[in-house]
Amino acid sequence: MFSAHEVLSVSVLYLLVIFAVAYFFEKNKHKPFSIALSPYIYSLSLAVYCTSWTFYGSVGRAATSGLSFLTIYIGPTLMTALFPLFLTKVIRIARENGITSISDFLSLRYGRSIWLSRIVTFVAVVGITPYIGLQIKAVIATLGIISSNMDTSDFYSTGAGLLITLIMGLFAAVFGARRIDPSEKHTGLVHAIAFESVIKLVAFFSVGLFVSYRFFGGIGNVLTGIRDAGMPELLAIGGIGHTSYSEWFVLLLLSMSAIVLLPRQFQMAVVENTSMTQIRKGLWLFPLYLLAINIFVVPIAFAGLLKGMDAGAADYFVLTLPLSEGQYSLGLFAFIGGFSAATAMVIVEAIALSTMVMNTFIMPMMVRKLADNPYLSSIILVVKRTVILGIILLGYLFALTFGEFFSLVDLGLKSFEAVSLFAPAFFMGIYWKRANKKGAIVGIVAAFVIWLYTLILPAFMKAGLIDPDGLLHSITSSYLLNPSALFGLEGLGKWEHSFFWSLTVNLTLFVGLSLITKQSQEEQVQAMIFVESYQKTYGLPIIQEQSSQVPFSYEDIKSTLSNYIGPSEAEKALNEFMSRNSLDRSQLKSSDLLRIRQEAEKILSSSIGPVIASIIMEQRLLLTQQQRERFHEEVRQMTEDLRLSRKELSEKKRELMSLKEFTEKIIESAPIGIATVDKQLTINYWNTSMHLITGIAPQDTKQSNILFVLRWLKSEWFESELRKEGTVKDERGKVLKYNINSLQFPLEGYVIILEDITERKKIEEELLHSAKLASIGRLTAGLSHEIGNPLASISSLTQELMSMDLSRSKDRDFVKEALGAMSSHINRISGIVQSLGRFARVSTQEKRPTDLAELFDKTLALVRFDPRSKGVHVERRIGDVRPLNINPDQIQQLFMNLLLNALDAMPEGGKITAELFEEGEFAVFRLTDTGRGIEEMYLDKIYDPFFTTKPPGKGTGLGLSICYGIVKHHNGFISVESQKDKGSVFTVKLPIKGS
Amino acid sequence: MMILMNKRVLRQMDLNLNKDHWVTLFLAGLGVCNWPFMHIFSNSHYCYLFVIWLVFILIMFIMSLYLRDTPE
Repeated sequence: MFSAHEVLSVSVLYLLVIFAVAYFFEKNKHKPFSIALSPYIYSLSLAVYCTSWTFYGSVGRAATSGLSFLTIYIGPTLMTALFPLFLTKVIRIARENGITSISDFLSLRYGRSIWLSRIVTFVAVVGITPYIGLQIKAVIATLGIISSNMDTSDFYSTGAGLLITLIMGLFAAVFGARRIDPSEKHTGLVHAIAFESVIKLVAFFSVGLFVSYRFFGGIGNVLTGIRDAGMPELLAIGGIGHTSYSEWFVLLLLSMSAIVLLPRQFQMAVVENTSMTQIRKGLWLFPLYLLAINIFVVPIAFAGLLKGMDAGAADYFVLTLPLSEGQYSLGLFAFIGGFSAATAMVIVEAIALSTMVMNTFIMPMMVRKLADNPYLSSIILVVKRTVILGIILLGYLFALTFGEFFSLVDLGLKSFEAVSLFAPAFFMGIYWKRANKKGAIVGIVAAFVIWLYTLILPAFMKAGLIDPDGLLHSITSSYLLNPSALFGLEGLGKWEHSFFWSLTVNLTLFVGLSLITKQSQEEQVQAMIFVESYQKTYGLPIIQEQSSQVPFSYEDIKSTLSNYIGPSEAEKALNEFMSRNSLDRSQLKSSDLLRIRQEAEKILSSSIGPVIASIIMEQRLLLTQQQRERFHEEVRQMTEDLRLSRKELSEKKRELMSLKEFTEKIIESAPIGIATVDKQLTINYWNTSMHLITGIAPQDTKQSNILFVLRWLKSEWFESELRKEGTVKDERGKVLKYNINSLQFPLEGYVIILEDITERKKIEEELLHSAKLASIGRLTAGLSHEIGNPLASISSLTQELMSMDLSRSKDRDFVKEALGAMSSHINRISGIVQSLGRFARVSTQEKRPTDLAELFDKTLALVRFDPRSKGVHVERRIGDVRPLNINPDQIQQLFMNLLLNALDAMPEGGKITAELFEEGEFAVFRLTDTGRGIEEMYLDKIYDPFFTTKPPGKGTGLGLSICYGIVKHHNGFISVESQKDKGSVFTVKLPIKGS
Repeated sequence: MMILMNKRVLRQMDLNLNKDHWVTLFLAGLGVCNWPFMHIFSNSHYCYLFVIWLVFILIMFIMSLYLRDTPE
């Protein structure tokens, strides 16, 4: 064990360490290594929620009432799920309006109501100061437990407890009101609280681990040990003798409201917040902390009971268990853990309450009495420190006088119920515009009276602090006014009973009065700002140019501000605002001055509260009634515009969503395959048609590289931003037309479009073949003539040969000549049939290097069979052209169609000039005829399928259309020049490379 | 679970959390922490509460990854 001096020394040393941590981070908050913005620090600072109630009281409650202690931590965990919705909104509102306490928040929301602010502050002080006292009591009680030579009463009587309390007060005063800071951020304090959160967690864990090994034989055996301990009533909820489900539910609700509405939580979560990122991490870090600090509560409680310790003293099992086992160092560490839990709560709560007391009770008085005092800012600072100290001393006084009558948990829950009275006005105030001041005030006051009557009065009577005899006895024992069963409502525990009545009355009055009474003009403005505005919420957002001059100057504003926060702070704050808004002090317009006035009011609001800030501004920087009304009108108008804009935005969003859905459906139902890939060629979209075309389902392509999915794709196609297109035959024999495009900025990647053209290609081939057969048909007459003549000759010669007498030498000579002639005729017929057969065969899609001149000559030879060619002179001007990679069947068909068209155009004969030469990157074939030409009006239609100028039965109208298709298939060009009765010139250009 | 926490997966999924998701999570949490769920697990309240508490935190952690930083 330790002597009282040793324990006191350790306590003071610990407080000095906290001082050092706070001082270090306060001093270095602008240094690069500062972790002021760290979400981890923020989350740990939220753990100020875990007080000595958590450290000591939870074990006490677990040992007496079982698992109900968990509600206090599960409730806040559930509530964090709503942080992204309302906490971010509250932080924005607070930041934009310079709000530094929950009373200021409610006051500003309800039209800067000083009375509402005072009521909230009063309720908070009455509800929470005793709880501060209980923290101090816990510290002094544990000092008594761990000291060998002094008990708890000695610490009170010798003043040692007061000394510790004063040091805590000093810390709170120094770091909570170090200077009048317009931002009201306490970097040093936040770090100190985060540090304390780590200490208390580690200390509790250490005791938990010790207990697990000493009493249960290791962590793995804890659950079994607890189950075998034979105290099932402590592990159950619901049923007789256990915490009821209704109590469980109410405790959850109480802790859910407390995590937001307790002044210290509002201070840490809202006022000290510096970035929204902190909320994101806090969403899970803070609940994780709560979970961690509760893991060993039940094992410690069970260990104490198993050891035979008194359940009535279970609050301090965390400390007494290690001490009883001779683990004094661990005991001392546990004491430090509990001490850190208590000091963190006392300090932050005192600062938060002092801000409320200052802004609502003291500042209005000081403004009235000391408005012109040149040392006002210094006086404010001194008074604020005094208030902090005063609140802590008030807590000490409570601990000294009434502390023995209340337990940590009991008083903690009473304070939770006290702050839950603000819940309707707070939560509905930021979402319901009609909520008004009258409803809020009457609701809170009525609920506070119920809280006093149903929770505090019975407690005081039970403790013997109030004499329950006489009139009071008659009242409290009556059927209707029994504080434990108000209006005869029995069967509820004290927490459910009090919560039910206070919430019911509060809500009824709040909603009812808000509905039947009117808001003031100021309330309407603030209601719109709080409910509608999400981003910018400060009172007078944009001020239009005023026609009249404002009755104050920049110097007036600065002087007013300096008076309350000090000249240097005022100068700095105003300069920052001027610089941020590019304002020049020498060229300030009336509207600029009004904006500076707004900023000054906001700054002042942070330091002394919005109500007093508003009063000061009204008094010092007077506005005429007309100007004030115009401001209100502008704000109302702007907020209304904002509401409409949001409505429009929401409508546009809906339209956009419909459009998106519409577009997605189109893309999804498009008959062409569409896929998108990112820069790394990873597939991120694959539509239904893509599935049908490739046979690969979308789910099989997710996160796959497209080169592995469509193996015929080449990686080089994705190396440039240029569009790539072409046709390809896939492994299943399908002919696919592909098109690869880069996605346009800001998107990155490619879109791949696939079209299954297998059927189309088949039809095209059939069409080409039909065209060939049609060409052959047109040549039939000439061909029959060409074949008929030699056949006739052969026939005649055969007749002659049959009559020959081979014994005669003359006849033998004739036979010889005749056979030679017949052979020649047969060869000619064979040549014709072969060339015809080659032309008529079914073409393939294959391209191969081909000599164009040779191909043209073969075609010309066929055309020569046409009898119409007899009167036509063909002039060949064939130059040197390199072999082209073409489909010879298709190109021959092209030549054939052009030549036959030329013959058609010259029934009376004429001249055809065929030219073939290279021109740049192209091989050019030009066919000129001297026929009747094409009328200009038909020139742009000649490639249309089924368009013909020939008489019915003379042409199908597909010839030039097929030519066009063939040229396009070879990536070439075809053009025509023609003059009526003078002839036509068809020019075909085929690329030498890549046709 | 690890897949859900993968940043690339998050980016691909581009899940846009809105208030409905958070309210649903809150109500679900409130539901499972009360009657009748608590009654169903009345034989093992201690384990049940800690397990759902941990699961709830895990879901919050995952959802917080999807939560875009709000512009300051």
